[in-house]
Amino acid sequence: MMDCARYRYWLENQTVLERDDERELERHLTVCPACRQVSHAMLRYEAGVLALRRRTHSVTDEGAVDKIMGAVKMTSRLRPRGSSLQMEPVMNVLTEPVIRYVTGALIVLILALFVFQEAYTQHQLTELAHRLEIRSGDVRQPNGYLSELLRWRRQGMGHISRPLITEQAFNQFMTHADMDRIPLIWRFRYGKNYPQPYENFWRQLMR
Amino acid sequence: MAKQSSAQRDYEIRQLIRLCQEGDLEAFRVLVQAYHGSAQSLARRLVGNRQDAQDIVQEAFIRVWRHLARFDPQKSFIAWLYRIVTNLAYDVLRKRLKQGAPLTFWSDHEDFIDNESAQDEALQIAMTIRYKAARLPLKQQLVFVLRDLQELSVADVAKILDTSQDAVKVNLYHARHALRRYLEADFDS
Repeated sequence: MMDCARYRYWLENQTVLERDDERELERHLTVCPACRQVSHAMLRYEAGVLALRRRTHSVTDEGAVDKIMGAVKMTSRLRPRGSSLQMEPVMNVLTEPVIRYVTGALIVLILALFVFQEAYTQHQLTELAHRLEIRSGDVRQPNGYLSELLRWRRQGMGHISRPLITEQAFNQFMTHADMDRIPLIWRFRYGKNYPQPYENFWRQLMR
Repeated sequence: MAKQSSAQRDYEIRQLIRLCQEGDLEAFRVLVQAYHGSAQSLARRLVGNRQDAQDIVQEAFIRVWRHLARFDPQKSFIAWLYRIVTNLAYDVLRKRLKQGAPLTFWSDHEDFIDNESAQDEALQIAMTIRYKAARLPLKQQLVFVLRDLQELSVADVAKILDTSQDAVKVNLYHARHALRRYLEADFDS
């Protein structure tokens, strides 16, 4: 059985063959008309490519070089004098791949921290809501102050519109009803000067 | 001997690039003179007509001048230049395809118009290849021009096109296969 695929691979990739392989290919071509046709087509292809290479070869044209140099000088002149000299090293450093990667990594890290803190706060609130619901002993659905708070946060509602079950939580909430809505934002806004009453309120709730 | 002269040329080019990086326009002129021909050949083979090729080469050298300060002279200058030329040519070809304009890739037949050459079978084949290559997908056209016409190595083509060597080989295989089929259809019938 003739291994035409192998010979065609050699022919089509213009593989440089060892002497033995070359003889083997020649022998095959004498007996296989299909591969012979491929071989002729490849020879034709090579001849065409050679002619194309010769015909589309360009030589350096002095007029074109002058034109390019004129354009280059023009772009050099467009730069503000002095500023390019001072800014270039800075720009070179700023556009270094390492600097770009580090900046990108920092941005991703900060975003990840934001997402983590938000998710963590959400988790704490949910847990707390669950605890309060258990403590309340009430089975009405939904029955938690913090479930309401979460729903309220998600829907962007201004007020909690239904009676709350946990009396204590309700009272605390009403005491601090004017507080900002999202703990993460408070922390960003107030930093270490986080207002004490709010701090106490959250600590008490989280206990 | 050839190796020595090649090393000598590389050394000279590196020196030239260093001078250019210090802002020496005369050194840059020598650099342009040294590489204009090959850049022009590549651009013409990629986009077909002389005017577009000249514009591409001019823009490429302007970009080289602008970004030369960041270029590492130890790396291959010609590969960098070819990469800029190829990217610019790719933009031109893509724009043509987007506009749905008639295929103008290699439509410039000025090199083939003399009657004497038209009789030559090799040139007729060349014209066919030139015409049919325009029907190949863009990536295959680029690989065909860089590998078979510019005679660059597969590794260099991969660097210029920012792709893997395997991808280059696959594209080259498909391009050659398609062109061979065209030739078979046109000349064997």
